[in-house]
Amino acid sequence: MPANKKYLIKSGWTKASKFLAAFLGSLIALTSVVMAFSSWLDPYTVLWTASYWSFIVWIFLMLLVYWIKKAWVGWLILVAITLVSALFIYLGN
Amino acid sequence: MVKNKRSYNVFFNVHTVSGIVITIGLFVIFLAGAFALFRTEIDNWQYNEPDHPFRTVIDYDRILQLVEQQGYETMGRFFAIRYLKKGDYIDVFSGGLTDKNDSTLITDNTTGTGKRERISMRLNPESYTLLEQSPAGEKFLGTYIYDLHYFRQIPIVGRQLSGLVALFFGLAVISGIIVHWKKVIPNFFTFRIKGSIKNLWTDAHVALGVLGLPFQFMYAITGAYLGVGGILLLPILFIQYGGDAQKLQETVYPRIEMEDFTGPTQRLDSISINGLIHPELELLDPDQIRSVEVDIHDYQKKQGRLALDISYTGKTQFMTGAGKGIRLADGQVFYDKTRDDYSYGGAIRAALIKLHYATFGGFFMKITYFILAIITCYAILSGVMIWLVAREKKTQAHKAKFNRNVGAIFIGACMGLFPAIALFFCLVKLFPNSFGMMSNIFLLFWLAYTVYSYFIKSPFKINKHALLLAGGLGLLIPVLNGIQSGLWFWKSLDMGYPDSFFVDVGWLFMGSVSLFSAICVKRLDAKKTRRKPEEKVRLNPIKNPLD
Repeated sequence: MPANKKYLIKSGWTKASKFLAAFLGSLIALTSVVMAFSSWLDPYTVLWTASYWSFIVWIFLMLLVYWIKKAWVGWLILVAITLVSALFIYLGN
Repeated sequence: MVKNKRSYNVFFNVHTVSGIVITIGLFVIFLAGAFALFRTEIDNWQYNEPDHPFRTVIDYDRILQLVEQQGYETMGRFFAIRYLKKGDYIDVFSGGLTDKNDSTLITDNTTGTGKRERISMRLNPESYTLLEQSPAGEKFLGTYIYDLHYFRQIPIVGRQLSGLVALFFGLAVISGIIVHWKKVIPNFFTFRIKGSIKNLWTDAHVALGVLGLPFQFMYAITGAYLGVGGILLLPILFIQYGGDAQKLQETVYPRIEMEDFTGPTQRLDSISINGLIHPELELLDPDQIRSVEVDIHDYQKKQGRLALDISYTGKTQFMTGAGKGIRLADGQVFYDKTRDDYSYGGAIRAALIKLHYATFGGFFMKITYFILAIITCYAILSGVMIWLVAREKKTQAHKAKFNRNVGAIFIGACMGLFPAIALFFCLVKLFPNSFGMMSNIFLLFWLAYTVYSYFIKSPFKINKHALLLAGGLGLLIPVLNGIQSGLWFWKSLDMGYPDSFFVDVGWLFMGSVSLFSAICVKRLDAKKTRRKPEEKVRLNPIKNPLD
């Protein structure tokens, strides 16, 4: 019953890259979104909402990264989220 | 099942890997956490504390006088004064007075020359005499188990580690439900106890996982918040706040606006704390109070202020808690929060903590939580069993030894905790005065059971022996309590010791169930081995939901 290997990644580097993207990449994307929101809206409300929502979003981002076939596409999406958020943070300040 | 074969296998792999990596930690969290729900009851049971009403009104002025009599400088200090129902005493805490914190102190010629060290005292609430100067570390069994459930025994990183375990638990829960989604309805009533052991574990895992999903998801999120909530704030602190922790602190916990005191500081000797808050406290119903905390900032100074914090048992409503801020100089109330009046952040924090600690809905809510936590433990263990059983095939033969060893250690470390806790309960009654030693024996027994499981290998034996041990020791607990304290469970309730009664009866029940299941598990397994030869020929009518 273990998951069919034919659908999983074999390369150790890609596996590491996926894990990094899922764990750290998602965290960076997530916090930058929170920061973007908090530079436009009331930071108190945003930060408290994020205190529990961010964990839910984090979990779904992790799943998203694993769901996407290629590791670099996952990175691309996370970097795109981070960059867009960075733009908003820049505009907001 | 997800339509796409690749997605299904990927999510299945995420579920397996994230689940198996956190197994031991998660099991400890849920089993120790289940006991930690009744931490106060267990502590009271340990020290044979009778049930007594909460002392809502205590003499704060007398406490502060006592502190002064002990030779401490009181002016400008921060005090936290709290009455603890568990143990029936008053705890007084104050940080050390330093010139850095308060530059006015040195120039002020009215200040005395009292001691400036930090204060930590324990007082008798009846006679207001000193019970203990700087009380030593915790000697409470319930509190020890509570600490264990967030790995406090691991220095520095323990709590963060438990938070990460909670996060990956969330990942395992969500990926698990995605994998099972298409079959939630058709397989809802599927439970095959005959036939292959793999189906039994799979059905148990799936059924209990689906039923416990909201509970487990709630714990994943609240646990992650309490464990690693700071992780999210860290990048925000350095990027948006330039590392200014004070500024971030004020954003998240905004300070209550009050008038600035710019005048010279002066000694305010005549103020009475009692006079300011006793009218409020006298109105409280002791049966509904969980805790009353009084924090005094800048005591005896003109800018001195007092924060009163009341928390209710919340038997009748979910969100409870009240608070008041009072200026010492003129008794003016600068903030007043009634029971229903929460700020947004305060409400979120209170809700997350209440959900996590089950401090609402009274006693039966906690029992429900306990049962759900044990169910989650079962789901975790059956997950490991599936992992093991699924690897007992020829294609996995090269890793068979490794898999067996890992399985034995995982199941041993998980199941070993249960008899270890039972043993700990016995030990604190046998040797009530050497708690530190007993906690070491508890940890050693747990380790020994893990090593023992490594040698016996068979998951069946590991589970059975753990249940037998826990059952035997569990049934011994009420007996030992009766011998040690004379509070036999058939009379402790009448004598006014409800917590003693509850823990004894709880263990009687748990011990009997453990022994009963230990005996049952033998029968089930025997039937299974008898059937094994023919099983391969006979086709299983229902396709395995996880295949």
